[in-house]
Amino acid sequence: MSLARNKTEDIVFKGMLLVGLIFSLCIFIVLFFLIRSGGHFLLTTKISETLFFDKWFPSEQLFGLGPMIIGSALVSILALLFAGPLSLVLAFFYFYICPLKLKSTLDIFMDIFLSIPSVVFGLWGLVVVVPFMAPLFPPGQGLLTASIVLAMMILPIGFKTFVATLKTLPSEWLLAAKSCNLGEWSLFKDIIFKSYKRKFFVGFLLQITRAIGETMAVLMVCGNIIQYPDSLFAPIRTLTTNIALEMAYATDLHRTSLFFCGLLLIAYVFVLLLLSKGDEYS
Amino acid sequence: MKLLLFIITVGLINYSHAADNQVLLTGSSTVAPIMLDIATAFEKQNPKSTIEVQTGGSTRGIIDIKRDLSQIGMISRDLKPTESFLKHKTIAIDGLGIIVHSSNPVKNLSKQQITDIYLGKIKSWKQLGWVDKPITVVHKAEGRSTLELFLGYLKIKNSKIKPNLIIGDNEQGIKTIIGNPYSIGYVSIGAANYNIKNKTPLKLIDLDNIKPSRANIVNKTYPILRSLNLIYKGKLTESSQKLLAFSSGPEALKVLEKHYVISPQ
Repeated sequence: MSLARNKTEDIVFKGMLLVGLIFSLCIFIVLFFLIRSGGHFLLTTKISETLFFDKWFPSEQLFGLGPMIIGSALVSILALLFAGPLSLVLAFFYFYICPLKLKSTLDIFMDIFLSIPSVVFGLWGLVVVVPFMAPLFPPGQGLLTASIVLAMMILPIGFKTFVATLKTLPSEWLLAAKSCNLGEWSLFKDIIFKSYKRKFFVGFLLQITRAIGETMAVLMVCGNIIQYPDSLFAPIRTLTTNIALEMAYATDLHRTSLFFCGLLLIAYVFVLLLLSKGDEYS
Repeated sequence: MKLLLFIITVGLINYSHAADNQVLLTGSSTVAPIMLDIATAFEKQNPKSTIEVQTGGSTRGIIDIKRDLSQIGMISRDLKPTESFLKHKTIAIDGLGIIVHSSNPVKNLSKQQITDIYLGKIKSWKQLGWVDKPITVVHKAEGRSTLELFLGYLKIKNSKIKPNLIIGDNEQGIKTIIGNPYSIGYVSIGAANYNIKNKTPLKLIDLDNIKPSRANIVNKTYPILRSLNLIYKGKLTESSQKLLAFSSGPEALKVLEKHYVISPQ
């Protein structure tokens, strides 16, 4: 406690501390609840019969989660592959190349995009993207369609983070680059990307965690078939859509298996976070 | 802290005050749109009551009633023997229709053909007298009562079925069929007719040469029928009782007609 702090500051500090504590407590409560509800499922079934098993028929007591784990991973990775690099390039364009007039338009456009509810994206996918894909690659709903819709959703998130990151760039760098007569592309590739790799990684992480957690939009365009996809156009089901489709109907062991799906989702995000942290300390 | 307590207290008072004229209905996504219209008509006659309708499927309707979370539940099937302690009131009869895109020339399918389509034995529309395009089989998610009715009719296990797409509620199913001209699915006849009237490119097809028409549902010749029920526990509030009575009255009959379902009388 420094001497300079006055009473108001002290109250504000304590208030913030309290809010922070409440939030972290919330995370633990959620985790506790999930483990309590989903843990029971682990005790009654063998791991080998759920994680690596591909038959999901709860009414016949078969709980294979393998295809959904793969589905969730594939769809989020694909969406990131589409949206990640594009949003980075777009952010760079916005920051260094974009004329001032276009800049405000792009700003408004991205803000609107960010605030569109996910159901609307799903509906857009179902009535626009799917009828376009259906005659070309039947049945039209599937891995690729879902990742395209997801990519649209996570693009502005990446864009916003990357713009914020680029704003922290020291202006001397730009001057130095200009005086060395470096083009925009090599400025981006050789200087900014190399030194800001880690910060950009955080942006990608935000995007992929959003993609993995998305439910409503994916539900409407992924086809919801439980299978290991054999092509880009094959229908899949993700962990989130499995919960949304069946939670309202599920009872007993079926219900706990859905809580277990939630636990798996948290584990997936946790692994991603660990990956980013591991990089930080090496 | 005092402020917080104040807000909570006010909220509680308001809640208990309002609870008498408030009725919450939850359950089947087939019954919900019908009850929503009946509730609107009911509220016009009884301005003091507020009726809230939430979907989530028949199973949710049952669970919510069991846990006292709602006053009335909506289910699109009959009560099972294990649920017989609940009371029910049938508000309408509905059938399950086979639907395709309106550009599809197929008019009639036999039970055997539908079974073969859903088992993956018939794979192309060519085998049914149309173009050589793969059939997109649209199926419902596990636990829905529409699915149970459909499986009960075909007498096959869910794990034997080879679907291409799985959907949640009726609306999503209809949007999926519209988006894919080579698809086939099944949905409540009421919901299908309601959409067809609103110029949706959708078509109901005959089953074993029996038209899914009003007359065939009334005289019970159409093979897949079900009753739409309201369920409740013994004791009901005054508003809930009024609503139950209202849902078989003349106003409700108009709503049933608008939704293309048949009154049980």
